[in-house]
Amino acid sequence: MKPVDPSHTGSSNNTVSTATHIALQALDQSVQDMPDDISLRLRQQRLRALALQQEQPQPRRKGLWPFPAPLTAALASAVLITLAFWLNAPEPQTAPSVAQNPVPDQVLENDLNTDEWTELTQLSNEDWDMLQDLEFAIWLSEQPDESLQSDRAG
Amino acid sequence: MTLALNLFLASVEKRAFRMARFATRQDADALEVVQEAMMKLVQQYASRPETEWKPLFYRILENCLTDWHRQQQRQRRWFVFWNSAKTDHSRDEDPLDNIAPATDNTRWSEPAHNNGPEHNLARERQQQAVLALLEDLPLQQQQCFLLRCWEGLSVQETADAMGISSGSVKTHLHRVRQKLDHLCQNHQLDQEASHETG
Repeated sequence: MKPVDPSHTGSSNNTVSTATHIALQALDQSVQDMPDDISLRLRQQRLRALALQQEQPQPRRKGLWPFPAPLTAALASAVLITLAFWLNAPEPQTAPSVAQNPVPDQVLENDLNTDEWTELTQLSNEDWDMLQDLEFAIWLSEQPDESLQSDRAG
Repeated sequence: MTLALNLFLASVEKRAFRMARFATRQDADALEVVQEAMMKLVQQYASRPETEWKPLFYRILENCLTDWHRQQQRQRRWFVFWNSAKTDHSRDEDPLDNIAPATDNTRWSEPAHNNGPEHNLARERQQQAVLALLEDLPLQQQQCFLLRCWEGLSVQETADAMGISSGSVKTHLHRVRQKLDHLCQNHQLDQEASHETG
C-alpha cells in the first residue's frame, strides 16, 4: 500500500507524471508545515480516542445458549400461546352425554345397529329415566300376578 | 493493542486532517471530522487486524466527510439568502478556470542544480498552485486522487472507501491527471512566453 509512483500512473507523457509528482510533493510539504496548534489538537484528539477505548467496557462473553435473544423470545411466545389454547380448548359436546350416561350393559348386549346406538347415546338423563321406567313397566306386566293368585288361593 | 493503535493513528492523523481540510476548507470542521473518524475506528474496529485499520479508517473518514457535506447542504437550504454571497459555486465548475495564471517565476520543470532562493520560491509557487487546484476539484475527484495517489490505497480499496465502483475511481483519477496536465502545460506556455518577451 505504498503511494502511487508518479512514473507509473499510466500517463502518456512525462508532463503528467511531473505534475502528479509535484502534487504529491506539495501534499507532503503541507503536512510537514502543519501549524503546531493543529498538530497539538490532533494529538489531543488521538489520546482522547484511545482513552475512550480503555474506558469502554469489555464486550460480554457470550453464554452457551446458541440462539439469539429475539429467536428465543419468539419461540417462547409461540409455546406459551399454544399451551394457553390447548388448556382452554372447549371439550366436545357429545362426550359428556356419553360419559355421564353410559349405555347399560343390557342395551349393549342386545343387537343394536349403529343408528340405534347413536340415538341412545344422545338421550338425556330424563330420557334414560323414562326408558328405564318403561322397561320396568314392561317387565312388570310380563310377570305373572302371583300375589293375586296367592290371595285367591288363600 | 493500544500502543499499536496509537502508532497507527499518529501515522495517519495529519494526512487525514489534510484530506478533511481539503474537503471542508475549515480547520475546525476538519478537526471535528478527523476526531469522529478516530473515535469510530477505536470504538468499533480496534479489534480488527492491524492491516485492515488503514482502509477502514479512510472509509470512516470518507463517510464522515459525506455526512458533513450533507449537513452543509441542509444548512444551505435553510439559510440560502444568508449564504448566497458566500456560496461557493466553484465545485461545479472547471477548477482550471479559477486558477490564477502562472507568474514568471513559476517553473514546472525542476531547474537542474539550482537550489537558490529563486528555485525555492518557484517550487513554493508550484506547490501552492497544485494545492489550489486540488482544493478546487470536485469532492469525489479530490478524494479519489488523495486516497489512491497520496495514501496509496488500491483502486478497490479507494472504491470501497468512497462507496463507488472501481471504474468510477479510474475515471476520477484520469480527470484529475488531465487537469494537472492541463495546469502544467499552461504554466509551461506562460513560462516560454515570458522567456521570449524577456
